[in-house]
Amino acid sequence: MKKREFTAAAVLVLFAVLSVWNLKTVDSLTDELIICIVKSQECSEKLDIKGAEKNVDEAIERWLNADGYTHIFIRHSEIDSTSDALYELKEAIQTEEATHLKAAYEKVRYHLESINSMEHPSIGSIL
Amino acid sequence: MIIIIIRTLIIYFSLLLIMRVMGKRQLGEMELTEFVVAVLVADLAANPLQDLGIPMINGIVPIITLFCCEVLLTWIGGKSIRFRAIMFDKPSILIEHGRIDPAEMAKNRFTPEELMKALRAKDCVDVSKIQYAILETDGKISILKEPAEAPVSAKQFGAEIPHKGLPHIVISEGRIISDNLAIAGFDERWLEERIKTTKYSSAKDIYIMTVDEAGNVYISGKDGR
Repeated sequence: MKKREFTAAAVLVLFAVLSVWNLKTVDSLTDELIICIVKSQECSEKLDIKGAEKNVDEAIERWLNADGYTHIFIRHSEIDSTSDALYELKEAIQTEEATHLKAAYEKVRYHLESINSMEHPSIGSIL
Repeated sequence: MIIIIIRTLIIYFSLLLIMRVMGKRQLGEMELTEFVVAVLVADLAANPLQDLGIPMINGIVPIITLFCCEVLLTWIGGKSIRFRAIMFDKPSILIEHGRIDPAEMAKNRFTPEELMKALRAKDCVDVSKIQYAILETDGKISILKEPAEAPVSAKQFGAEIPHKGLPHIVISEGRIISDNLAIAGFDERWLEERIKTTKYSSAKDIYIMTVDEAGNVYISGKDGR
């Protein structure tokens, strides 16, 4: 095997390793955010508005801090819609709109799960 | 990222398969793997450029993956005759001793009109004078005329033709190309002396000057003469 072919094979192996790292990173990021959202929802169900807001703030902070990763690997439209969903949830908590609150939680979870599933190989995500 | 790679590989091998089934005449002087990469790369490169919302990695990873696949498939093709035949097909003999093979024509989806057009492009109008017409794996047609129709060579005449070597460009648009001058076996001093023997006063007046290894010179000035 010549240098060129060896380099090509090495690059493909590197991509495979990077893909595994990417899967772990997106799993870890979305899992962390979903935990925050679940905690926030539990607080809001107990009418602990401060606790709910604190957990959403934590989720927003973690999401914004991950921009080094998200801007490289995730479509910018997905980043924007997830950020919007998080801020809409925060607004719904602050205004204590009970009717919108459940939908706002579901919207955030949907976006996070969508980002996660888009990176995982499945018939749906490939085709 | 893994999705991008899997999708790239699926599209790449699907296109290879489709182009392989479509036949060699579609390739336009490229090997099959090169053609497929050329078809895909232009679009892959354009997408992240046109849409700023698409991360660059979505364009870069598939392009690099395609080039790596192309390099590896070409290498495997060089190692295995069977793999090469599967991937790139074999050359097809369309004409043998002046007889067109209809089965090979149909297999390669060539019509008689298209064959005649290709032969005319090769300065062959009489099929009966062709020993072999071969459709190569890159879509080009190679023609071997019957021995009686082949051009006579200097060797057959017993003529001694002096070796001239390849003409090298030593002046291009007034600029001296020292590397080519050295390859031809001359130096700038020789060039200056040679220019003095012409109507030009310096290299700056010359549009192009070539010299072969025997010292034969061609000059065309910037004045067009």
